[in-house]
Amino acid sequence: MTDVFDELVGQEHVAALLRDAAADAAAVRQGAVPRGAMTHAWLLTGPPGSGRSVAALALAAALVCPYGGCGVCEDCVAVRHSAHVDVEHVVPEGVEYTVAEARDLVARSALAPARAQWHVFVVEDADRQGDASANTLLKSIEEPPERTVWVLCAPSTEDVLPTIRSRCRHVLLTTPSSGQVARALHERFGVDEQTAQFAARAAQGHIGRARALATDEQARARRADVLALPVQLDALGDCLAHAASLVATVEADTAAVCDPRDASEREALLRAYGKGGEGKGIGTAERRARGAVKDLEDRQKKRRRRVALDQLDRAITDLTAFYRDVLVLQLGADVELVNGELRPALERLAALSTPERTLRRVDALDRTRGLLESNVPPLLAFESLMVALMDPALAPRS
Amino acid sequence: MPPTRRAPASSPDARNAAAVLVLGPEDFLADREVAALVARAREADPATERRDVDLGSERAAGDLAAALSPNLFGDAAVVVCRGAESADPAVVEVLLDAARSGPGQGATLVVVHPGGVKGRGVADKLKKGGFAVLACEKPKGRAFEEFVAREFAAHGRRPAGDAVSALRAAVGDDLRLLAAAVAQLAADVEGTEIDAEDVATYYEGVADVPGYLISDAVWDGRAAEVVRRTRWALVNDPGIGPAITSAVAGGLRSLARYGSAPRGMAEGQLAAHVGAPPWKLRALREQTGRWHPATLARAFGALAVADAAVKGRDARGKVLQEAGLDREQSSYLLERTLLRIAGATRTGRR
Repeated sequence: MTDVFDELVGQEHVAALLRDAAADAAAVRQGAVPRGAMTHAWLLTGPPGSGRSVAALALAAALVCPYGGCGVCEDCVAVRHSAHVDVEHVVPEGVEYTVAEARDLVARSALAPARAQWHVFVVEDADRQGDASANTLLKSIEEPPERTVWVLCAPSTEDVLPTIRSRCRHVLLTTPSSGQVARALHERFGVDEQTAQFAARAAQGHIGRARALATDEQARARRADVLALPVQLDALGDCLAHAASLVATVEADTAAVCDPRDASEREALLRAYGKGGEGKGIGTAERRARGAVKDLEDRQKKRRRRVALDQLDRAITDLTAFYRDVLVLQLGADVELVNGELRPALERLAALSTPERTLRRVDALDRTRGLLESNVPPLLAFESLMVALMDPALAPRS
Repeated sequence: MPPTRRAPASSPDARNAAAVLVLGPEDFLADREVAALVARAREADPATERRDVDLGSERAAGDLAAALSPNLFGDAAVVVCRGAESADPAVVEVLLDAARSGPGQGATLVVVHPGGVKGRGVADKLKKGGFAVLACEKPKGRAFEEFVAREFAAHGRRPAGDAVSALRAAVGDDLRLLAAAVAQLAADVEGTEIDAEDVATYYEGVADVPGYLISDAVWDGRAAEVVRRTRWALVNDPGIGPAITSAVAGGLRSLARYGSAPRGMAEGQLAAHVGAPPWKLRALREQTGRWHPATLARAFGALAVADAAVKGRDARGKVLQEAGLDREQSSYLLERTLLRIAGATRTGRR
């Protein structure tokens, strides 16, 4: 049997559960007595990259597809591209959902589906919202209109308000093994086996990241640059230089992603307000446009920050895996190395330091993530990180 | 260059006119002119009454009529009208009428107008309608120095040396603050001359303390100055913490880069490497000698934590208030961090 749930990697139990739910939902619409496999609010949790949003979209597709999620019909394809009229796929633009966005969602959730049997709301990163915005959603999640279904995604149940959690049916996804990820990369995206295995290991079960590493030259290069850092940090001056170049690279990449998008959004907005027009009322329109442009710029600024933070976070994740490998070597643990291809560097660091110091470095990485969350400028946060990772013993003896 | 409007000059003998337009953006001077006019009228007749009217209000017409009518005992009055820039045309007509026919026995009509674009028509009409003008422009350049000198003179004092520019640096350009500062100095300092030293004694560090002064104090290892300046800065502007950590981190960055620069770099090259202007290199050389590289390295982490604290968070991204730490305590944390760094010079305690 092939259907939308096949896209889940290493989550057979979840696929079975959701398939059953979709079948029950379809039966209910035809007048059958519900078996209880389907419900109106779902909370999908699992570590980043385990495929929460893939699972959520698969459920959505199965609900709106006339064939129960065939994966090939018009509805399924539309859902996959976040373009289905009855599947609202929401992703936080900035760092968090705002109350205004939540209110907008609640208003739209009151609408009946336009063409399918269900109106599905897939809310990604449901943990990225304050209490106020979560409480705004609460009522609708608790008791949505008859044909509305909520599917929330979050890293863990602790990340959402208890009041939200208690109103959802919880589904737990697990981290797929690197073997499963590699097979999926190979079979689905035609990545050659060796690259697939490297990418799966390097991404540590994060499917999206594995795919990027397998197919995107630049992602691989950025990762290699970051992982080359630890053995170069032998003096204060180098630490500062590396921190500066890393942050500059992130800024440049962020600009490359955001600049064209910002510019085209701005242009579209101004056109909507009648840019280039003339005649009566153009003054008023221009004044209003100024306010709208300000709002847009605020949103773009938030998005820019998020894009940059995501990249910095990836660098921290990669470095953490590196020091985890150092620790594995130091302790002689019998587990697979994430960065097997860097064995010489790992062994060198393992020999120079002690497990205690390696753990302190892992802790410094964790703290850096906290500092970034606290709004400390990335440059200062990474300078303090590089200094904490610095090992003067790496310096060539003169 | 666009054509500039000439600042209006005061009419001769305006202070004795029966209808006066106090015109200009400097409200401190305007207040003074009004007070002087009232005082002058009271000199002539101690029973003179001051009546205030807000021309911008909805009841302006009625209030103005009431203020302009003589009272039962025929006492003299000074009618002070504010908000002329937003006055109704009808109200302006009443003002013009009053000026034409004379505001009544012993009465003086004073209209205050801030100048500028808003209500420029009103000001022009009043000028044409026979109001004598008292200009209240912000003094610039020479005139500014003269203003401060006059303030000193009013208290029977004379500024000596750089006193005026020192005062200006410490207090800023606001005339009201400057006048108050001069009055305070005149009360505190004995002798007829007041010099820059006196100003420094009483006023240094009072105005906005730029972050770089704090940074310099930290990296020069002047602990007492660090505390004084940081406190002043936080008292004046409790939200200035992030600007301070940012400036101190900038200073640290230059210092650490300077210290780790390869030997034998040309000056221009070195300045580019450090990311500081060439004239700062000498100060950096002096500062570098005071610090052990390991101390500087540790300072990055400490500053990052302090930066999080002044933004109300801790190093794990948690909101401090939830941990029971308020703004005052996060300010304290900043002060303590800076103090520890400043105290950790090679010669100082570690």
